Amino acid sequence: MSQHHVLIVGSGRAGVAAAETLRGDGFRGDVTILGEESVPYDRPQCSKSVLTGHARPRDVWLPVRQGTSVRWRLGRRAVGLDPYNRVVTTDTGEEFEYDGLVIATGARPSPPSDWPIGAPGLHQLHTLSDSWRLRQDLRDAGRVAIIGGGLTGCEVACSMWSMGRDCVLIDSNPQVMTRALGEVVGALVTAEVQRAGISLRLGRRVRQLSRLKRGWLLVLDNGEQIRADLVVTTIGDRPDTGWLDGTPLDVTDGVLCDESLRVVGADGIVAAGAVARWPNLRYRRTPRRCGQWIAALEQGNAAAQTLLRGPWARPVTILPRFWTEQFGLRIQVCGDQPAGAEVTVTEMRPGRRDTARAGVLVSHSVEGRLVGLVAVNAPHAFTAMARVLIANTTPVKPATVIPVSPAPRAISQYAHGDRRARVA
Amino acid sequence: MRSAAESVHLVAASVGFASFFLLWLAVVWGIVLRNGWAQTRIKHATVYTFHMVVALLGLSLGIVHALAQLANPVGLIRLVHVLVPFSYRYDRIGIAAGVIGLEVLTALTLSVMVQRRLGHTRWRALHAFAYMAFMLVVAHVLVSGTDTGPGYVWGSVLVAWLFTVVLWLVSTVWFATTRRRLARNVNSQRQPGGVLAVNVDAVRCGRFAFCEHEAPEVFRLRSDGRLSYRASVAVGEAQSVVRAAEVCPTRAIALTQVPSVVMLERRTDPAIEESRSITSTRDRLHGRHRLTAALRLRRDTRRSTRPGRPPLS
Repeated sequence: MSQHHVLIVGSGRAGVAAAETLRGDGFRGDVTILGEESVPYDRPQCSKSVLTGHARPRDVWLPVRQGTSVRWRLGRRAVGLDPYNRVVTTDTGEEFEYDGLVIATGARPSPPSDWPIGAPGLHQLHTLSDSWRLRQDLRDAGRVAIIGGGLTGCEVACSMWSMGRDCVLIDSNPQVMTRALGEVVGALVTAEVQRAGISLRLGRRVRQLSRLKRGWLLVLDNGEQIRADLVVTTIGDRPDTGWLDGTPLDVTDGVLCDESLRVVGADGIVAAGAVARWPNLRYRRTPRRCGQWIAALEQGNAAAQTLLRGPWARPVTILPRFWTEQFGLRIQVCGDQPAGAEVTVTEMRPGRRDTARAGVLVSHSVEGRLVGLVAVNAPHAFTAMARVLIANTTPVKPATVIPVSPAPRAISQYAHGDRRARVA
Repeated sequence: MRSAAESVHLVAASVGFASFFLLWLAVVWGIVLRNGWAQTRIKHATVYTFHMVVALLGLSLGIVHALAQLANPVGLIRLVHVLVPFSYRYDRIGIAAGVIGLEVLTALTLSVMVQRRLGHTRWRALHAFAYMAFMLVVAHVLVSGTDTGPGYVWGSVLVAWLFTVVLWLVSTVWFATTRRRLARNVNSQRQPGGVLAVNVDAVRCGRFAFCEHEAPEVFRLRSDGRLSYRASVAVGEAQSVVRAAEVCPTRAIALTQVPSVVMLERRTDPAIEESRSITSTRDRLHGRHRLTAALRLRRDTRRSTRPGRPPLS
């Protein structure tokens, strides 16, 4: 057994990607993945094909690249970290020592704490088992209330709609998916969602949730009462950092990292996925989280490379992008939508009243430089424009180098001669 | 001048054959629809609508065919015989096959209305009964058809039926795995170089073109919304293609590594081999095989220097 051991906490997309890259780049030590759930899977499918029955839970298991030998320690949750002695403890009482640690615990929805999540008919959508349980409950449900009109909420609504259920979608914003799509596209998509037959309660909050003999009664803040057989909540997005409390790490809204995803304030720790708050120098110096699936993959890869390269780590400047397909709208987003950016709207077929369905491309630019794209039903134009975004990698220079103490060590220093083999 | 009975028979038989042809077309088209074979050429909605229209038309003509039997003034068929299977005494099996087939098909057509309520998987399972119903219709044509006398008539009915069977067999998982296994065997003998076979599942592919972001030299989303891609990729380009497969939101890209064979020289004497430096062998190798070969050599030497074990031959 080698003395060099990388521990990955989190078995989602980011964690598995980190393991794959470690092995792919020739790391010879041990790699252990700690995971709370029993199997790694593709989380985006939980609100889509798993709900509609197009896929069974087995079908969405995450394919792990061949030749990735990993010790899987699944079904246990990390509960503590000792960065000085380099030990992670789990809820089963085990202790895992590490030379390099990848934090990839992701984020979870956070409904108000007084809601009885888990009571029959009140669902929270986070894990694959949540999704499967929701699907089983759908069998006898005719009317479903969905709280939270973000990306996940809308995808759930679309799945319900495609299965012929009545849907009520409640959100506190005046549009659905505003945060993800921006206001211009948000308004267009909201109109389409309404046209599809989802009843929307926008700008409303749920004041009270009470259980009836059969189903649930929701009282909104304007006094309206909604009866539903099933309630699904998708609101909130809280990084899973509870187990890092009491450590010197900065965990306000995610683990603070430097531009190469090294966790600030500890040695030999990197973070990846929705839990990492890092300055993406492609756009800005202020650290931010990015809870997207492709970003998780790329962060996982990059975090592993940071571990291997040590002091020679490069800044991680990934291009955020995501997709969603709902109500016949193929929505793609790429890059950043900063406030105050110049917004250009291009209609694919000008003059059509259903702008979103006919195709629309919205580009955000700052000082004449294209920074973000949102497209609905315009994949070809989107790809052509995205090429510009991909090619344009001019990073923002970090104003001050965030000190990482002490000086980082490279895991790759242990990987005997492998660096040379990589170069060959 | 034909008699009334002859006229009725003529109409009923022609309608019956037309119905059979349309039902056959609907089944074939259904298989095409299921496997997404036409998806690169025809829009999914068009394929779907065509399937629906043809099936509905075939079914309606089938019902007309059944009811037309009642109009025969000298016929023995009564309404009860076209509703209740096995009730017609003179051709129990043949008529029953047609009646059951028609009733099952009608039920399946009506089930479209509760399709969304039923859920995709369950509805598909239900819809598979269409194959059985079509088999019954074929049996009905062959058993009770009075005009299937000449060989070319029953022959073509049989060929049409065989065609659907073959088409169905070709679309099974069993066939796909067998074909892949055979292809692998053939390819491994044919291609000594490292080649990555790329295959995109037309049904799963969402045409989001995230693969084009990663590997624009392999994948391209065309302006008409179709995705074109190169089906085989040299190992040198593999990295970007692997990335493309990873970011694919629908996991539609399958990569099959056609095993690459790197030929090393035959060794003559283990002792000489031990003394020969690795680098000289490595220098003789070139291009894309270099990395694999280097890794492989390192593994070999490590094994051979282990004490108590003879060097590998």
